[in-house]
Amino acid sequence: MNMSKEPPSIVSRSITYSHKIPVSKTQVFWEKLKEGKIFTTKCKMCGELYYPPQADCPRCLASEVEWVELSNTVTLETYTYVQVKPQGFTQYEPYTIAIGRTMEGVKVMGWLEHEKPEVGIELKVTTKMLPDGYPVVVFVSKDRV
Amino acid sequence: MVILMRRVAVISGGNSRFGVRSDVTIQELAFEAVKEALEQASCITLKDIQLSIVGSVGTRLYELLPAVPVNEYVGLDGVGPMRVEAACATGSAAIYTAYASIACGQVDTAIAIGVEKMHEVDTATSLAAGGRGGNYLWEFHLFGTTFPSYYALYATAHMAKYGTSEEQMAKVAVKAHKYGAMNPKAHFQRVITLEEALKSRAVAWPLKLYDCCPMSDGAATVILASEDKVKELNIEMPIWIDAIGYSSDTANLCRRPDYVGLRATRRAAEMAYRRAQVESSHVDVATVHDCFTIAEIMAYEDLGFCGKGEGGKMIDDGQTEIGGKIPVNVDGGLKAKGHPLGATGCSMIYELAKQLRGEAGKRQVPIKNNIALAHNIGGTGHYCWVTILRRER
Repeated sequence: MNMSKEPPSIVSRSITYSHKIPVSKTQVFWEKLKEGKIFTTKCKMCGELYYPPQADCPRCLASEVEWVELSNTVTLETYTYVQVKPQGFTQYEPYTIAIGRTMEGVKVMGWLEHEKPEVGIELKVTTKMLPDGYPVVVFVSKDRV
Repeated sequence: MVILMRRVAVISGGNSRFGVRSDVTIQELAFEAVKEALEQASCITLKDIQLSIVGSVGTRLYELLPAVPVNEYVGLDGVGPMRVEAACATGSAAIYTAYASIACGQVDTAIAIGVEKMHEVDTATSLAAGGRGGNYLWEFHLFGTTFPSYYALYATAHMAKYGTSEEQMAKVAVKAHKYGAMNPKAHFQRVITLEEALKSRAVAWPLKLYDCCPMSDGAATVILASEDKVKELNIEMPIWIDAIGYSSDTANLCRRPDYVGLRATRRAAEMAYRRAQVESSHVDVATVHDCFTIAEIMAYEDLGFCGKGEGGKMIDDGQTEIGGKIPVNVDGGLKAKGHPLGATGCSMIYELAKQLRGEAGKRQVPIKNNIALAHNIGGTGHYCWVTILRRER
């Protein structure tokens, strides 16, 4: 079968989604992110630490949580260098997504900026604002000031 | 607990050609699979089908609610449809729903139609849809995760812990293409060399283009029936669903204990083996979810085909080829046959039923215990179904 020629098609009516995401219960996270800090929630009843933060505790069904700051050091668990980017991220240079474990024992996702990453190394957690206004968590070398 | 369940059998199946199917709409594609299933089972007609389950992820389609047009086009009327979605395991979710409806006595026959169109949007849009297959707000929104990048996170960790190599992953791709080349319904019908696979461009390092399944359009369907119906219709070679095990894992990858295996697979497999009273060593042939090459290596381990960390050696030693310890994905797998999300789970059962009946032609594996296993993952271990099939002699 000759696949070189595109079969005939017509163009659909377009539909565009851009959602309003409720953040009233996680506002602290988004505000602190801009200050370079990672805050998350801890259940006041059972003490369970959640990351990503969540306002409700399914363990004890309580909705009273306190906001706590996570340590700014992580151990690198894994990473990937993303070269084929999705819609919404094509304007950026290729980026590295990583997961690090904090001293509190929770895991955090972030972009990794490190020349020689290796599973098991310690990294410093910081945040930055991308040119288009989206904040992002960044893991950098411990030596970087 | 006393379980009063009726036995359920696969009595027919159909599978469209997988690939870039820009020549057809979703309903036209579904028709190809339904037609084959009905033609193959001469004793059953559309009118005998009491329930229709349509599995489609449907995030890349112009038709947002595809079950209704699919059902109408293939000629099913008033018997559902019910649309199910479980990411890449949608086909298994459709089969599970049909199976459970028969097992509990609600209906005697049901059809599971898995269908997906992936090529109606461009690649960046498709990646943005796939990258939302976790938790949008905490992952995609902040970091631009893609589906390959999720599995790449597992590959990096597996390589670091067990020394699994890029070459071993590439060997999975070479095996997939070898069998895809023997399957006229496969998306890729071309053998590749190890060198080609290793030299392909990185998509999400350590995963390269040849470590990734293609975006495929396709449809597959299975028709299921109760034991009474099988007898009434005088079905010659029913393939019994001995058990379906299922499980899941956290939406956020951050909330998982490690990245070297899928907990959902281990739990679903344990349930399936226990319910079917079989062991992994009894399985004659398996289809496992190889959306990426690392996924097949982890599946060997998590399904108990080898010990943890030994998946790479299993592919090195050719143990999952035809003639090996346990042939895996000898239809080309997701990697070469293609992975039209909603269709994949149904296509796995279509293939295994053929293998158990001895109808797989030059891809036929030796059948000793009459047991086959299908492993279908949704997302990055977000869902898992393990289905055990048996042919009785």
